[in-house]
Amino acid sequence: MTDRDPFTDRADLEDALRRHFRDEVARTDFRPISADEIRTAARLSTPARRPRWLLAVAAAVVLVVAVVPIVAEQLNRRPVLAVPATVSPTSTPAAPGDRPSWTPRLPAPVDATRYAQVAIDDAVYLLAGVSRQGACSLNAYRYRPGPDLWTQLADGPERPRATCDSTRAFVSGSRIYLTVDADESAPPADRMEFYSYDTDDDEWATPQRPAPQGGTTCTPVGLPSGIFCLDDVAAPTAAPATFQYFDFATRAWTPGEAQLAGGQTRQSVSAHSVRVNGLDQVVLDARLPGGGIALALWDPVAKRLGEQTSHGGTVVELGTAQVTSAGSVFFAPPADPLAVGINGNDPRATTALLVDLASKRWASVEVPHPKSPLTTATPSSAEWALPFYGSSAAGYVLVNGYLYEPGAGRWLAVPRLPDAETAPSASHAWVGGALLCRTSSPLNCWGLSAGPLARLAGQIDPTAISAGNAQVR
Amino acid sequence: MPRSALLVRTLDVTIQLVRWEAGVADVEPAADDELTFEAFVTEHSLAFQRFAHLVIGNPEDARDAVQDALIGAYRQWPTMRLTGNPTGYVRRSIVNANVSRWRKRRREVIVPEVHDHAAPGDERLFDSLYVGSLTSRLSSRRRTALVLRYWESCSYAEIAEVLDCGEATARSLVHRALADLRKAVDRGSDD
Repeated sequence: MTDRDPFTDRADLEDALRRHFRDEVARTDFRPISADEIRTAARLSTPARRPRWLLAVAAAVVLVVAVVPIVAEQLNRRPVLAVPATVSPTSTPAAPGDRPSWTPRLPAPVDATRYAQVAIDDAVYLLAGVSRQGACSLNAYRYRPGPDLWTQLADGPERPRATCDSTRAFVSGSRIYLTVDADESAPPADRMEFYSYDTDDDEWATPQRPAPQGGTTCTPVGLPSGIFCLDDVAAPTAAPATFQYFDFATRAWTPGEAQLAGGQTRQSVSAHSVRVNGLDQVVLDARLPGGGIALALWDPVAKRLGEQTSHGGTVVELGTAQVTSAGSVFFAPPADPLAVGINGNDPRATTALLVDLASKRWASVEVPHPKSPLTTATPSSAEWALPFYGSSAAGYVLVNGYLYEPGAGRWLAVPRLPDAETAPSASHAWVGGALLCRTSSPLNCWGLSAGPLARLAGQIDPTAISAGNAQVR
Repeated sequence: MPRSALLVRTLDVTIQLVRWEAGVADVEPAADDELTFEAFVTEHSLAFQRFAHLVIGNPEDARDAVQDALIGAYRQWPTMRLTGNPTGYVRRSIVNANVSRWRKRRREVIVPEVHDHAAPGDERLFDSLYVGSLTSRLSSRRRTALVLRYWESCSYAEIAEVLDCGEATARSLVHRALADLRKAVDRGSDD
């Protein structure tokens, strides 16, 4: 294991290489090549012709390579019961070929609910588990869908203490960054630990950690050019939101702040990475008293906050912002409408908001209301997975059965997650926020579930985890 | 790979094979093609030789590789200048030529000893000969990835195109090459 972080400590090597290449080229005398030389040489030499039979063999090989996987895939495809789409004014029946399917996968070796979770390309990573007793160590697991395989990865460095409150993970390139929030027993200056795990080399490192200004911890967001960390500060407040940014180029944390227009008070603020107009940026999502939403983009290159865009909201508390790689943000209706004072038949209970960050255009989107067989008066029960959303390049996913594509303005019916609705015990629930979707096509989502999965894999510990896979082709 | 992409790729490869077999893939350049080819060679021949030298390791072989690559480009110039990426094609040809050369000569290749330098630790990195002896011990593919990244300032997508691999693999090649160098330097520091 090394303490060197390739993102932060390889500039000396890079400079040395540039110097060496420059010196090497300077030491050698090159003569220009003229086009005439090339023309003459081309006319004198004729390309070797391959025997004609090679064409037939090559074409046959190419056809076999193309056709065999398709046939094999058709033969191996396991049918999964699909739920018909409920009718909603905005829904369009999905073509049969558009239907995604869920397939049971190998249970995870650990309780995924207790781990920080991220997905990179097709792989799911679980890092730094926290036991029920609060014990907290830097261990890691990777799930790869191809071989349907969980692998235990290298352990991280020894932590200064054995316990912690929580762990959070985010991705920048092929590296996963991990913050460990220590419990109250740690001195305030050491309340936040910062680690990184390199998925290419299976190595951990301890990069420079942020120094939150307004509190003891901050919530990080990964960007290709650096790390943005929004300070965790108690709200409501009218004070500017403070943050720090670690620029991979300068290898230093620099503080910054963002103030709502007119010095408004905010109930909360969160940050998410987003790509708008070809530039990777941070979108700050401030929630205002009464349910309003204010968004602004922070540009890591110009280190500048863009113009704010606001919406009055539909209800007091819309869901967490879901950002897609297409540069739009989706705000789901409340997970529990009754808790915010509206009943399930109120249109506001099924109205989501959608904003395109490039044009700053807001739109209302009606969410298909899960009628029979998912009708329930208690949306937070195990049979109602509506609260759990995920985003992807293709759109927004409701775990219980719908995928919204902003470009097409339509909902596609998705088969219900196996077991999530049928498990006899309410303890079996899909992990909140753990629907991980890759951000490139084809859409590939992973639902990590906790609970008794006896029907899937025989004798499994009740705390064992199963992964589900939805694929839209 | 999605089925539709696989089928398109299959058709594409088959069409290329048929075109090649029918002799229509290599067409004689027209007059204006000659002019653009001339400009292309004039503009890039030195840069290609420098790149080839860093990849291959000696200027004579580098010049031969560039000439061969340019001859290949000349034969396909009419279609390449309109639809292709001539610079990428030449770089790719140079890299492939280096692989072929290495395969032919691998029995003769002697891995150079790391250049000895009196300076301690990371100060060695300021000695170009020392860095050169380290890079020459890398695999051809990793060294090429470094040259593309730190000499040609290519993006990972461009490196992937030249090395005929995915962007993630290109990133990994650069990363691993740097890690190898770092280990070699650290080993040297421990001596």
